[in-house]
Amino acid sequence: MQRPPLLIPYLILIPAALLAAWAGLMTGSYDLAPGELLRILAGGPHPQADVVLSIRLPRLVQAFATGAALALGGILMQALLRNPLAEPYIMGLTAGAGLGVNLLILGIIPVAGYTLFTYPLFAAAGGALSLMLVIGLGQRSLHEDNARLLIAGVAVSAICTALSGLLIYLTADSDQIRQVVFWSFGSFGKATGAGAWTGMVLAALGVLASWMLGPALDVLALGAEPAASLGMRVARVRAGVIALAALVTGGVVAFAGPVGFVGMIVPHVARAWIGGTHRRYLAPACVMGGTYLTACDWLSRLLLPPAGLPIGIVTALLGAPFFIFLLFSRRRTV
Amino acid sequence: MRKSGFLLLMAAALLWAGCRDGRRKLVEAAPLISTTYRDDAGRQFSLADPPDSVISLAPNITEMIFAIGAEDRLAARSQACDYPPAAAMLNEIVTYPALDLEQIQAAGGDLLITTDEIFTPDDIAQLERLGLPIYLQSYDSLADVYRCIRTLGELLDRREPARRLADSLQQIERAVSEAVTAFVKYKTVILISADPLKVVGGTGFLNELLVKAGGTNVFAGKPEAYYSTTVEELLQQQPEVMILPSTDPQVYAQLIALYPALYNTPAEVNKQVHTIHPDLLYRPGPRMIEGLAELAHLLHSSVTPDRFLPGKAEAAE
Repeated sequence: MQRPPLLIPYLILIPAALLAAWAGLMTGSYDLAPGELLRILAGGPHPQADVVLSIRLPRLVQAFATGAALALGGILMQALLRNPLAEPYIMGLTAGAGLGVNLLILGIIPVAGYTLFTYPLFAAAGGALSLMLVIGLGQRSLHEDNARLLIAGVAVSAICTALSGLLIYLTADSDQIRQVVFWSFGSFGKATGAGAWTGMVLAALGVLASWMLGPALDVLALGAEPAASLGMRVARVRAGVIALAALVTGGVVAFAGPVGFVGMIVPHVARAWIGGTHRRYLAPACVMGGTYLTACDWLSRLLLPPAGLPIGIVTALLGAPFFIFLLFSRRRTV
Repeated sequence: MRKSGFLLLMAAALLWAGCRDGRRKLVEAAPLISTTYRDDAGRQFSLADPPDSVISLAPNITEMIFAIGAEDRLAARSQACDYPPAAAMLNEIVTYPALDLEQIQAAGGDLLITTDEIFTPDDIAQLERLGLPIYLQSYDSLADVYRCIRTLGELLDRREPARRLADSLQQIERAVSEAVTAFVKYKTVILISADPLKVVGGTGFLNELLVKAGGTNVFAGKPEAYYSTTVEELLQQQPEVMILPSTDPQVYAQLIALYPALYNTPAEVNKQVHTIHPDLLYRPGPRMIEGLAELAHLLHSSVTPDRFLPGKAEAAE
């Protein structure tokens, strides 16, 4: 099949991203005319400049960074597991991050003073620990087939989810349950400048690292045995890919909560549309992921203003039918 | 033949005993003269006499029962019922994480009282299967709270003390409202939850408390009792006073850590961010009026609660 020149996807994706960003920045409690928004973005004085720059813009940046990072996490996991349905969730990362956040919310690990990074630190630590457990349990499959690694991921995910449930059941009061449940739905409502730009930097560094790993990902996608026969140190590359995916997705999930299906849908669409090597479709896929989640966030606020539907619910409602379509189309091709 | 005759005789004896026992239970269960009540959920229940022992599964109802002097009829209370301190002496029913039906059965009450906000319809259906009459209360306004106190008085044979209590609470409410009439009605927000961001909306008894305490609810136009908002909308409303029902001294610091933009509200600039004990606002019962007086004081510092609650001031001394 003839692959489209890379310029065409960018000519479509960049205007789409700008359109989604514009819609996101225009939506809120204060009504702004397009000219006013442009003046604020250009640094001009305006009574609502602070609202746009300290509330709407961080929300937009966080949504975009989260979408890009989740798409990247999906690409890495799918290359690693050679399964188009794989995403960071499968590897127990999300459940581990959730357990970390629950330990904080439920007061099991007391924290003297909350800062912007308290939640993300606990989530990242939970995600990293669960990942270390997955690698420990699936060590042998770092050299061989990925089935053991996949099973280890599912098992660790189940353990973390069960532990979270147990802690909630035994210790939570109604306020804590509300907090835990709300975090698990996913939201950009708490986005702040520092958090959003941290997510963006993480996503950008992740894209850069993955681009450098691109040829290795292409070889890894062939399977452990062919990769080893081509001279790759399979275990080392696999561990590196897992760590990168954990860092990138754990970092954004910590701020936004577990947002499902983005890491599965976006890489699949990007591969089908742009195709080619990992280096070719990696960056457009991340732009696509960021645009998709920015649009989902705007849609959520349009459907239920002003707070919006939880973003995890929107992505699940849009993603689940696609997941089913993917399952059936795969069955037909087998 | 002799053996089968013996078995037949035993079976007949057991059947007769069973029927007699069943008939006895039936007579006991059906009172000769009973009064039928309809609760706030529209359900009917019948009581022959004022119940000797009741089970309260809501902290505000336990407070009401103590306040009308009917605590001698309380057989058990839920684990959340922590006021007055004497409630601790009663049998405790575990309601969270799961409702312990066996404890309720063992408590042996004649009537179970709770509110429609605490339990799910499934829980209520489970409770109904125990065969106990259930009285569900519901409160959308302060008037509902007074009505429920009076109904409790009727049910528990404390009609006069209940009437006096409801009347006196109403008088205090009127006195507070009159005391704040002349003051500026500050734009106020009562924050129910920081994460997710929820505030008191334009309906329900919390909104009524705020208005009677001399504040203007900035979310009065919202039809919900508890309204989900955003930082942007909160900033747009420019609240001059922010009320945080919490016992945690760090609650405001945590709120600002979550939403730094809230540092720009007039409430913050004028140092008008206050905490209040959540039980005084969230429990629709006798202490709610203490909450009203406290709210009025937070909004208008010259209006002191002991003006309306002399007993409280004496107790403090």
